[in-house]
Amino acid sequence: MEQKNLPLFLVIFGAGAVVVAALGFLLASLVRGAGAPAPTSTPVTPTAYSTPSPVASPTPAPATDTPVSTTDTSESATGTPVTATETPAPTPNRTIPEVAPDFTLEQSGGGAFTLSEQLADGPAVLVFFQRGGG
Amino acid sequence: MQSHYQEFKDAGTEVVALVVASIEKVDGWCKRAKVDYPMLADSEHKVAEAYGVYNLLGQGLAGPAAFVVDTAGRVVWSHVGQHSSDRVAAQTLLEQLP
Repeated sequence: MEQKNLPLFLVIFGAGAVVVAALGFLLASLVRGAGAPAPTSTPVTPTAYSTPSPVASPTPAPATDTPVSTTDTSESATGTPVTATETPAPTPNRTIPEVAPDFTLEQSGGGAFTLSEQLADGPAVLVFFQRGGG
Repeated sequence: MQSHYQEFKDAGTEVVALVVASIEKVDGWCKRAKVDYPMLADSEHKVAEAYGVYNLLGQGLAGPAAFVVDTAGRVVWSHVGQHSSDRVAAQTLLEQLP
């Protein structure tokens, strides 16, 4: 009897295990199904946030307009080059020279002053004034 | 600068002032200010450009600047003013003489 009851017990136990497993799967799927709506609502919010992004992407659109205006600027810059070419002319050099460029200029009271001739006699201090008498 | 000119001369150094202006204007300024040091007329601002100080303040003039040049022609010290009253003191220049 015991040998006959043992397989029966195993069959019942196995069937129970299958039922439990099936119930577990069913519950899990229900939980996923119930969880799905929640994530769905969550994405809705992100979608709402991502909507502003599209709103932000219109900003890139103005940025696309900006390039157009940039193109306009470049066009106006294309017209400007003549002026731009003229502007750098008065300010060609901003670097302090390591070697003093030689020069000869008229000096007050008559005559000319040449730097290299002065340096043969001694050092020189060159002072640039914005106006005379400084 | 005028009040310290003799100190520069005693140190064997010549002080030269450069102004972007015509020689007539420079002569007029010299007579009024009674300066003893040479004042040069850089009327075409070529020297100011060569020293990198022309039109620094956007006025078509040389910016206030000073260069100490040794007998080898090297600029051993310089000061370039960032505004019209940014001028180096004569005493500072005396201390920088080679």
